[in-house]
Amino acid sequence: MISVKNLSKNFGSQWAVSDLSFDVPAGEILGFLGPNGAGKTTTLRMLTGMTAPSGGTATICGFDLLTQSLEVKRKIGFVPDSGAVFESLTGLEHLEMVAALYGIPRELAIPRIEQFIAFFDLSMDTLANKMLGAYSKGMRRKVVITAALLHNPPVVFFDEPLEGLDANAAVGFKALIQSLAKEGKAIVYSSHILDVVERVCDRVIIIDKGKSLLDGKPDELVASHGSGTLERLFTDLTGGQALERRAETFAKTFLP
Amino acid sequence: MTAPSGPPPSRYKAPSPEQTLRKLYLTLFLRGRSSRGLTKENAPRSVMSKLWTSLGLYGVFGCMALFFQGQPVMVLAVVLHGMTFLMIGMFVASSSGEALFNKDESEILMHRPVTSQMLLRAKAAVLVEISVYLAAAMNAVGLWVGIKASDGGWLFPIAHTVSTLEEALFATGLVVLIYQFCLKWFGRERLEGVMTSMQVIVMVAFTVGSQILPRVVHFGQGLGKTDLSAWWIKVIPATWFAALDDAVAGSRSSTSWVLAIVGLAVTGLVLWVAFGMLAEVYESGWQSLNESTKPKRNQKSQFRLVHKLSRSIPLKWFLRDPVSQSSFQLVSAYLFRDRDTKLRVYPGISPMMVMPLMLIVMSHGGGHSAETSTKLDGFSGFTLALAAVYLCVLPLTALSLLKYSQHWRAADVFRSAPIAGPSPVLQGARVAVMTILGMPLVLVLCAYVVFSGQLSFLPLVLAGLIAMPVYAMVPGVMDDATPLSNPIEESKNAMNFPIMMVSMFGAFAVAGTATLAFANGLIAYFLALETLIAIALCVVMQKIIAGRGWRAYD
Repeated sequence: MISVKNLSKNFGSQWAVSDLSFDVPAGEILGFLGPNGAGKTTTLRMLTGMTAPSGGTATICGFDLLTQSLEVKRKIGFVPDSGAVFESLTGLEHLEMVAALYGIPRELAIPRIEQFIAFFDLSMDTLANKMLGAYSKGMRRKVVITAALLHNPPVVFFDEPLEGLDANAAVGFKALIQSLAKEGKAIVYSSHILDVVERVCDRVIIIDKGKSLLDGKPDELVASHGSGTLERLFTDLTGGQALERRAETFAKTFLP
Repeated sequence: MTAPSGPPPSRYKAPSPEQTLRKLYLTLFLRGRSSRGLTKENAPRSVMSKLWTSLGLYGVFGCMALFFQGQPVMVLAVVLHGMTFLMIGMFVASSSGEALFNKDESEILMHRPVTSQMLLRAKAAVLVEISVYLAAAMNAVGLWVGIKASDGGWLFPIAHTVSTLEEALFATGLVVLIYQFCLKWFGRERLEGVMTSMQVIVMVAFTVGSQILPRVVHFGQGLGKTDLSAWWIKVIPATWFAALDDAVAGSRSSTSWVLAIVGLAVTGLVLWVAFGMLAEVYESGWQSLNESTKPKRNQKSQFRLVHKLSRSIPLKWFLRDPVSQSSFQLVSAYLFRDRDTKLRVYPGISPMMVMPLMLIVMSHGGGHSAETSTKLDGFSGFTLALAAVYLCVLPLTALSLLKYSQHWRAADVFRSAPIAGPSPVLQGARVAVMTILGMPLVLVLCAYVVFSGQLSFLPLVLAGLIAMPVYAMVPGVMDDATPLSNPIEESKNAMNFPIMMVSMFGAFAVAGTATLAFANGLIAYFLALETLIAIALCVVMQKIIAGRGWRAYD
């Protein structure tokens, strides 16, 4: 479903993503891990047509990212980490607008939206009458997730999707992702929450400074490196242990 | 839960993406792009009410057409199209930056199945639609006057409606075209700065244009003496659109037909290049704006200079409160670095930057002959005093515009800090604006006086300089909002207009009194009195500002 070959992106002399290659078949959830500034969001932005790659190619559902970008965009759903919405629209207006962009008429969009409302335990009254600017972060995130899945795309990209969701919603969302994968969707899940990735994803790619460091099933990677947990493996690879050591002295030296 | 799927049945029809986007952008324009905890019923009305106020004001302004009763169609049409072109141009130039390139919007729409052409056309359609409303208000009276024109008739309203629509399309297309060329010719690193500069240039061009128009129609020398045969009038776009009116409903001369065809051809060309040939450039430009860039070296050095300045005498004394110091640096950073702020503030203050220059140039050309002018070697004292005091309105306008930001939520940092009220924050912002924007222009004016050998006129510039802090305090008295703390939509508030008008009358009063005092050898006394009044006003206003706590949010 997703095939990425030597994807690269530079900003001036700095390479945000360098020669990244991977495939995601239908039904797989790929965890995309990396420290801040590793190139995760840039990669997702390239794969969703929001940023032009500097080099390399990618196909999604057989469509070329560069030459058939409109077809690619019809096949994907994307939950950006910013959770941006048009704040002066109501939730319902926002979702109807998104549905219309995918050619879904209002008469069909409403039942689909109602399904998501029921799933996320939202109120139709709130959705129809309250501006998105007034929503809590969690509610807004639920609207963004609904907007990404409303057209039932075969490929979904999530960038930090759990941010702002309460514990119950997060549990439900993780189950939703797994059931979507079982239905044959290819899912790329970028997150910092490693234990969620470990439990939800079939496979993980760890990147740092734009380059792929590891690619494999979480349990196999942990076992092969003898790290015990994915978190330990991640910090070993990306230099997190140094921060741990600095934290010990920081608290002692912080106050005069 | 299982996501529903399946193709939509044929009995239902979804609106096209173009229709959807047009509806979206019109809603966003009328409601604004952000809200603070409001329900649909209480959706922001400020933009809508501002639009109605603007329509009313434009309608009143359009009554100027009554002075042209009985004139030929061409004269009336040139005036109507001249005014309309300036107003529409300024509207499009000031609205297009935020409408065309919005970072949040790209997060929502760029991964959707819409092309850059669709987005661009939808945005332009909304700009044209609003422009047409404004033009309709401004030309309503003119339509009736056109029927009664010496060579007019019932065809005039039809011809004028078509030519006004053509004008709205041309103005919107022209502004979009300028952006497209910027996107195409300049690299990503320079894009933001270039686009900001272009918008400022467009606004300045329209401001200068508004000064040229009254000279074209010679209001003071008899309305019938308007000379439309000059070659340069024929290259002004407003003349092409006026020629369409004249060709269809006026003299029907061959010259008018040629000019009307030129207008149609140029409009077609501009629209084709902006929305056809260069439409793909829009997407790459939009993408580029979302890619983070390092601050340019000159931005860094400018900011370093400002930082040093804030720690040197006398600014150090004005910024002795660390909160004021921080506020000074925040406002400075936004004035130098933030694209959204630059796009709003610099075009907003450009008339204040250009008008003093225009006043002086006009005084050299003998434009002022009133008794209040004290002419020495072609140099009008009143004009210089007015130019200097006019500059004082600049900090007022800049501070009013600086209350708004796309990052308005970040201003909560002041509210959450242990500060009793907004007073020290406003103090920092005032000093920043006067230092970065006001003082350089006053120095330019002083340099002009010195180099023109009129050193004795310097006290007239001083009259403006003394008034500057007073004007700078007005926004803080009128509204306790800290810098960058309000959503952008709230900036479209009709209340700004009366404040500006009162400020302008104040500027005229100070300039007039200063000139009279200068002419009678009393300028030293005047300056001393002005200083005392300015200090007293500053103390009173500072007390009002300092007595305020943080206002509660809605």
